[in-house]
Amino acid sequence: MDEELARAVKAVKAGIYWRLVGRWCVLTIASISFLVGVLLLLCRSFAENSYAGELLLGGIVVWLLLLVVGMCCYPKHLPSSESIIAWLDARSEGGGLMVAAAEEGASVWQARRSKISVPFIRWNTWGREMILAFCGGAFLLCAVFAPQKMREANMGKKILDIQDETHKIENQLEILENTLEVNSEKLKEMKDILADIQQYNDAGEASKTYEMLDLLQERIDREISEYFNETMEHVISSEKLAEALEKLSQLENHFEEVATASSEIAKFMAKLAEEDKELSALFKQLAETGDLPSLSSLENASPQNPLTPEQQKKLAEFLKKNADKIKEKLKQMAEQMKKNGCSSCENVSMASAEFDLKALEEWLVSNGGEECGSAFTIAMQCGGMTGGNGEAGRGRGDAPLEFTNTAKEVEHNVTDLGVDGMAKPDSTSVVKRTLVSPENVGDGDNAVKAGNLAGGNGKVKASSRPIHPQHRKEVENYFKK
Amino acid sequence: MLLTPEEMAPSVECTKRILDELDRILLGHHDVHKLVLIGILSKGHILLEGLPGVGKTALIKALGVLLDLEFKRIQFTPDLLPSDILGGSILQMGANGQRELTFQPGAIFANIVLADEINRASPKTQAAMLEAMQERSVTLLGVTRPLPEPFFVLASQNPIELEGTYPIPEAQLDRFMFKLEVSGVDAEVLTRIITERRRGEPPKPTWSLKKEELDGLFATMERISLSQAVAFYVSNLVAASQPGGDGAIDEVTNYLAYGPSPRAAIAMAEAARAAALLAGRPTVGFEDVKSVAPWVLNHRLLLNYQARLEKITSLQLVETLLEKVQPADIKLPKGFSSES
Repeated sequence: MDEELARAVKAVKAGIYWRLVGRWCVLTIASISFLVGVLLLLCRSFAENSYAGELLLGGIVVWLLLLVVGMCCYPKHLPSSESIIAWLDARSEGGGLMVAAAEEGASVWQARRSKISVPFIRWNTWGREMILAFCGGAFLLCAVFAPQKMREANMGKKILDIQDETHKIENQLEILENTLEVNSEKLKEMKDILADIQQYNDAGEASKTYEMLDLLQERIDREISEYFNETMEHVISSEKLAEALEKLSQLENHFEEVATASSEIAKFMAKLAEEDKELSALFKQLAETGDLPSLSSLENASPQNPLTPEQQKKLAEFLKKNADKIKEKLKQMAEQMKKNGCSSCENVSMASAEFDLKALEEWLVSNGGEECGSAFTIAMQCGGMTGGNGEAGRGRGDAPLEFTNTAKEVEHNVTDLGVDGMAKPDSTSVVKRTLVSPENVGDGDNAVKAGNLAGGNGKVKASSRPIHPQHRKEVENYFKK
Repeated sequence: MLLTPEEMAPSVECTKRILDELDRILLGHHDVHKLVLIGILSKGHILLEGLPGVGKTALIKALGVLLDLEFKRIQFTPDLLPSDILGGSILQMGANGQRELTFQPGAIFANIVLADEINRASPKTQAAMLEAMQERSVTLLGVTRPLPEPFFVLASQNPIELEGTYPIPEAQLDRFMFKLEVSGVDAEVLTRIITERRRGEPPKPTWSLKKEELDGLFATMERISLSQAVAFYVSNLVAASQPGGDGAIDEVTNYLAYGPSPRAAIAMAEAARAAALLAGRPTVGFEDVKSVAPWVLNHRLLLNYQARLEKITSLQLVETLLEKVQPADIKLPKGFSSES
């Protein structure tokens, strides 16, 4: 084979080879781009890390390997030199001289041979394959960059829209903090819980989130209720004491009772002052000015040195005013709390509004007149609210009421622990129950109560599975029907 | 070993002179002259088809004179008998006075036989030429007699006036290397004919080929190289024209009843060698095959009724075949093509 022919054959082979390699290169780029892109997305979907760098590096390495493999393999796919020579001969109209030159040598005819025209090898489908590679590259770029944000959005937990609920609770906590003088540790704890709820708000566990919100709300309600109850006890005690004082002022020549009452009043006033700093300050101020007797004078009251009727009246007036002031304050707070979704505040305000002291007093007088013995006793009895476990109008109201630790109810085989008449009711007091407990539901009733639904027979429990706020209205409507 | 240019030169010169002389004698038929010369160099028989008066007989006669070969003409008629062509044994008085059968050679015992209007003879008479054309011998009464070397049958037939004619059987047609169509000439050539030639008589050849020159031509023909690639192309062409064959193109399948025989491939290769010689090359090229393929194949392709209905001719089919069967096409990978 002469040099010119060899060169032409080499040129044809090189043309085909490099185009094949180029196409292989483009196709492998497209394939690996798609593959790496998919792997990247999968990693981002199911793994903690996207491994973008590692995957890209791996893709490049694989691509280079494939390129090398392609470059090694393609020479085997090239047409043989003989067929290329025949092809060139046919295309150049060489009259068989090129073929003959390759087969048996025709150097003497080289001068007469037609010029070899090396055809141009065209890669017809380059556009399609380039588009494929471009799409692969674009997909890879999207997988590398764009989905990072998508992943953050997708991988981040979906948040429930509990802004309304948390906002109301925040307001309630603020009111508690500013107004009700709740224990700062409790308040901090509740705030922490709220912060936790907001932080770990997860739509995937909506039930838990709402349950926590409900529990927090319950706790707030309980705190409010406790505070309201305590305050109301305070108010009621003040009012009853005032009335007792008024009645005492009308009793003449009962020096012994007045003296005894003065001692009790002093204790009571001391307790009130201890609970209410404002009242304490005011009381001291009035004592100094002489408008009210001092605590010491009260404690030292005796039949020889009783409180004067004027002093009794002034004291009663002071207590009443103070009670009214506290009631007004409670009312305002209850309204504020109601605005912020405090469910128990409605009951509180209603309870305070409906608490019929006169009816209670009459009832006590008619039922326990002799045992009470006097208006003072009645006052003490009402102020203490220590009798029985039932509420004021029912239960064991007729149980023997004693101011010692020896009170027993033999008939029912229940032993009551006697409490100080001035003792603050504990958290299990009747008043609290009246305020926070759901409506009365009989056994076996299917009912919707205070936003909770308990299916089947049985009582409704506050700890039952919560119904999400957005569903509560529909659930209520359903059961109303 | 390939022929050198120097070795080829006399033969090339010789063929050129023959062609020039033929062109001088008969005006306006250069391509036919070339193909006839190719046929002669290939030792093939040629069937010339054309209207009366286009110069078929004149061409054959001139060729006979030029090649300095024994030339005989047989005018085929319906009552022509085989013995009129082949000859026969006749009873003659011998020198000793005894009667003996003596073979009297027919007109076929010549180097160049002009079978004029061959399709007018009966099939029996036409068939008498079968052995002579293929075996280049005649067998009569159990005695085989070789024909003179070289032996060519140059037949002519008239495509019109088909009444009372007998179409040449396929077997006999296949024995013709070429079937050439001799057409009329244009006005310019006609003008030259009527102005330069009295009564249209062609000029007589001024020279004749010497026997050694003719032998030299045939010897050169023997050394023309046919490469594998070209041979493969010839084979592919013939294979592609076989209806039902693996390599058959769609047109062949649709329009052909029968394809060419292997004799066609042989004829094509031989004709391509002669074409290469005329081109002055020691090797057969793909273009040589292409140049002779239509005339080798056209009378060997038997069209079916579909082709006749659609007025598809054999030559059209051959053209399609040459377009579709690429010579020495390398199989480029999918998605790649070549362009000059």
